[in-house]
Amino acid sequence: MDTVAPPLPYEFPFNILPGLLSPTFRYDTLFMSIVVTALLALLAFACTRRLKQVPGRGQALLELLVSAFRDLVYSTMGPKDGRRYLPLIGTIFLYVWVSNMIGLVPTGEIFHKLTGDTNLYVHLGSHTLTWVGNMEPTRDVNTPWGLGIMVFFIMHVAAIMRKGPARYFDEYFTPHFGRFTWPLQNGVWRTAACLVLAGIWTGLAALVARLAGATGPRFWGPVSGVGAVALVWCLARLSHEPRRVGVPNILMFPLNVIGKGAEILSMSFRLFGNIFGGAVIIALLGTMTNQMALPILLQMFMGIFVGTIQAFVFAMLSLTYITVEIAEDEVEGAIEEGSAEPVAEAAG
Amino acid sequence: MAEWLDLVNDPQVLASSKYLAAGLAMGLAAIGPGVGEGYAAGRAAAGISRQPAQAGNLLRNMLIGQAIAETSGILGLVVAIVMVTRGDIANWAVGAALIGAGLSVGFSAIGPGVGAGLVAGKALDSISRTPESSGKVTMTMLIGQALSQNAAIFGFLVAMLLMFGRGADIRVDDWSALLPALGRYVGAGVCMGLGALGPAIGIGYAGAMAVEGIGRNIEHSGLLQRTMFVGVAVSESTAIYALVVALLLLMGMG
Repeated sequence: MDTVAPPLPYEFPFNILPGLLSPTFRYDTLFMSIVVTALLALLAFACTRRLKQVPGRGQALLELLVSAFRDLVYSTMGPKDGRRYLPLIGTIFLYVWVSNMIGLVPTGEIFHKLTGDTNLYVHLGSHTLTWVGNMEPTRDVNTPWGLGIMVFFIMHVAAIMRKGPARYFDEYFTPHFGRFTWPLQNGVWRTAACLVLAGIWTGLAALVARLAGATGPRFWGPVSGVGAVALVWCLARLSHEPRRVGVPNILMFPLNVIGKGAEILSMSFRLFGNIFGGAVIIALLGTMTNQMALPILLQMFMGIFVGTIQAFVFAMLSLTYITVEIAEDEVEGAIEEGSAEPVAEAAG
Repeated sequence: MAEWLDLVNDPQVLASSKYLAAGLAMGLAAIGPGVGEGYAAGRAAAGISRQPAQAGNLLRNMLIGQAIAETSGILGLVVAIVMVTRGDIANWAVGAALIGAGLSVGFSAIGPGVGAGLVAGKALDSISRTPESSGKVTMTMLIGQALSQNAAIFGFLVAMLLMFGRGADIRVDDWSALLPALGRYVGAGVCMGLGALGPAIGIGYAGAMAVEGIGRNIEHSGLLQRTMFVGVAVSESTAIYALVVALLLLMGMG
């Protein structure tokens, strides 16, 4: 019995940020996740035996679900992409929804009847595993976090595959005040010529400043100023299209990068916070009162209502983020159209 | 100065910090969702008076919108409960962290409540005006509200880190380490809390105008949603800055 040891220490799973290097592991989350998966597989299996033209009850239920999500996904993504991502969105919703609902199964009551405590403690050698009663997989921070990471990878890999690395990378500089794709539009030689010319001017300025005996800030100030002006001037003069000076939008880059991370962080923690919060409130108010009605009413609101809404919000946010990532820039396209018109008119 | 250290390490003083923090957390967190949900309910009533046939639809959407606006209040309640039921506070550093956590989740719940309520109210207006756009309007309302709640979630995250994270290494016996660490934890809480206030209301306004636009011009709902997204992403910036600074303070850098 003592040869079975958990691979990682079981502890309260909140070492999220400082302890990213020490992930936590909860067996009850894992077990309930497997139960959820088994339930979904069983449901799918049972309802799709002997598919009929006039559906029976199970088949009708699944058809209702699939058609509702199909309308939603197709109207957001279009039929081609929608067909590809519909299984993902539907599965995310079902998985999160059943994970939230499985907290209504009164395992805590069963444990209380068996062992007198709402948690079940399993002793394996020197380790003790705790199985929390009424456990939902989404109550552990790992489950929503894992789903969020999955959606994150899907979003960005799909965007890179769809748009190519150059355009994907360029989007991190939006909103553009000019275009950073100056090198892409004007080719390697013009870019090189531009940099060489600007470099020559900067070198001349550096020489003059050094001859004048400037050091430190008095040296770097004017030199960098001359370098920046020279670069912008060269970009303007050597540009293939007139009046399209590229202002590299460096400042927006870290903001966009952190923004992408914040999207997924917020999505995961919204789900976690709602479900964990509901569990804490129900636990506390359950201990404070002897009435039977209050915990049941709370379970109805927190468990069913909030659980369903948060599952739906999670699925829909995944859908929206994926759509925005793989969409062709309509907003940027509109801006392009707006600014290209007067140039085209002026040229011809 | 040793008596200062004894004072702040006194168990009664330490216990008062967790109660104060719980009060801050729930008291502040109740402001925003109240205003927002009331506004949504008011717009629902106005919508029903304009279009009584849509009463069921309006009521349903009002409840859904209110439930999401409630999220930030729930997060404040959870933090307050976890603090009240917490055991003994070990030392003044933990006490300061608890106060920071209360401020963080409390202040950060004000903006999202108001913002999400704005979105819900305008969505109900749109549905009552053009009932056939109800599906799209509801979807966009959910997205806008969820984006407005981002700020509350950042505040909740910082509060959780303050309550349960390991935090910076501080020597609790050293008098000279007291004030900087106090400032650091309370500062992180105030930073995230106040930093979440503005962006959430702004994002709520953006979402509200987007749903109103979709109600008026449903063919361009896709373009409207994408524009809303770009605007929301930029509006979120300062909340992200606040989150970054709060995390820097927590990690003990700078």
